[in-house]
Amino acid sequence: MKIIETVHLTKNYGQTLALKNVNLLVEEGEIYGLVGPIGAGKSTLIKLLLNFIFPNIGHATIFELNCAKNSAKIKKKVGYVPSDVHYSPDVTAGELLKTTLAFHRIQSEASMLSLYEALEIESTRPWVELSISDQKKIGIACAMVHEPRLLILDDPGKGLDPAAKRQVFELLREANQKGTSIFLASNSLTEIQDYCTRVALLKEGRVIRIEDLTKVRKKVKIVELWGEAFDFRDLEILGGRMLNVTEKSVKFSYEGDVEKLLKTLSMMTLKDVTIKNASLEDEFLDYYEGGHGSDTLEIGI
Amino acid sequence: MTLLKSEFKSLFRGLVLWTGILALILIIVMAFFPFMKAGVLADLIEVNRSVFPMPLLALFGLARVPIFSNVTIYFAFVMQYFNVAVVIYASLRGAASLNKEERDGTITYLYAQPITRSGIVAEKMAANFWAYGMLVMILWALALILALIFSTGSQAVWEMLFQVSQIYLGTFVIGIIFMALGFFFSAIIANLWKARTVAIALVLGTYLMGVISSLADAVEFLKVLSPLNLFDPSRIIARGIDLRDLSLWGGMVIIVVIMTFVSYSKKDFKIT
Repeated sequence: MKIIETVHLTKNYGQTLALKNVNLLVEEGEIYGLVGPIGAGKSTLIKLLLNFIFPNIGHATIFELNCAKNSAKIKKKVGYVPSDVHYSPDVTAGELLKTTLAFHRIQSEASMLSLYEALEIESTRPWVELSISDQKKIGIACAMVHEPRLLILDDPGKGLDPAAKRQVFELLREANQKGTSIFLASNSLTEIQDYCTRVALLKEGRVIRIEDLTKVRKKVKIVELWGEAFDFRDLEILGGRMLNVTEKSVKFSYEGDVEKLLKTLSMMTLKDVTIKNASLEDEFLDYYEGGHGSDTLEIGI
Repeated sequence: MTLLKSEFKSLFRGLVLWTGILALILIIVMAFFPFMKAGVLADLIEVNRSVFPMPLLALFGLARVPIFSNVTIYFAFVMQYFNVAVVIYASLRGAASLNKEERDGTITYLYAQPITRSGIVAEKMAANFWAYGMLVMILWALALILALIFSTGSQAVWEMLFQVSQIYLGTFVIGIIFMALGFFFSAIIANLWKARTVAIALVLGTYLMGVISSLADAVEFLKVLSPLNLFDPSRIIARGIDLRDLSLWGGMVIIVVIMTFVSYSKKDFKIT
């Protein structure tokens, strides 16, 4: 089943283009990541999905229902965690979670109690007395207390201390294993790499690349060579794509036969060499810092 | 209903504060009635009429000061000022109702719940009307008690209580008008303070229009634009509530409420 689908989704804020012709498809059971620099349009996309704002062109659906027309119906099965969580200063976690259950007309408090335990939430302290990390955990608990089919998270790790981050992502993974689809936007490439099955890379409001993290990254190697002089013809034979070239070093990505790579390298005069699997960070930096500028991008080599 | 309850809960502290302060003022002002009934204030104004120009006297509702022969006449005189305070409460509540969530960032929680935009408007309106209704009811009950305490016996009790009740019905109506306008401002003006400023400016502006309308016959038509003037307590005890005025402003309230629903259902929320 299509959990999220966006079709030619475009949003302008006055003269400023926030999102341009975004087409995405999130399938049931996925943990789908959205990555991009600040201002790339991640939060705008989430706001459109949740009907906080309206698109100028195109439309979005969740559970195959139009987001702008069926918002309340959709939100019965959706949990949302904003980047910054805000509530009234005197409200407690207990009151908030009970209010959330009341909105969803859920009588049982079982899920609330299990979230208290899993996230070590203090239910009686007023919001204003809580740390940012505890506030964020309560925001996440509010999004999960009604056991949604889809979780939409905008920078879920923001504000969380390392221990809380581990707790939260463990909880998210468990929820995903039970069938909850997850759509998360993040600036943290580690979060995306560690937890997502697919990722869309956003740049200046456009999706510049969609990648299946379960397949692609394992095949792409990042090779860095140090030496006095390089014969680029050897590298051309390999088919590597240059990422960085200086007088004494060459960095390139390689997707191909490892034996061929090693054989080629063994024939070169090198001072040092490193070969590692391409991380999302490598690709992210490659795409955002200069490697690619067009809308149609290839993977790796 | 969940939002209605939580909204009312959030309004409760302010409601208690406003009710307490207004009740105290009402008690203090009514306590002056025994000293005023002999026409002290009217005499004072008459003596100093040459000192103060008529527009200034009109601005403060002192253009025509009646002889306070009974408690309802005095009460009606007092209520013209009191109404302004009550209406400011209603207006501020309306103007802060919808945009407050955007300012505080709590809209990200509220609108993540299974509730429609119309549902948000309806439940917030209901909570605010409920809070305002409680304020007026409490003050009305207090006014009835005070009227009985300070009654001179020159007026039948039922007539006195009926007139006080009519005055409060007028107060309630004026407040509903300005609260509805406040709701509309809160739907279209994201900045809370701007919305409140516009709402208060409207209260004071229409009050001034009422004052101007009483200065010359040529501009008397302006009083239609001033609910505070149309539902002026002295006018109500003299002529009752004019059903034509009530219908006119009732219709206006309905239109403004519809415009609020429409504006809110189409707006982009500003989330910080």
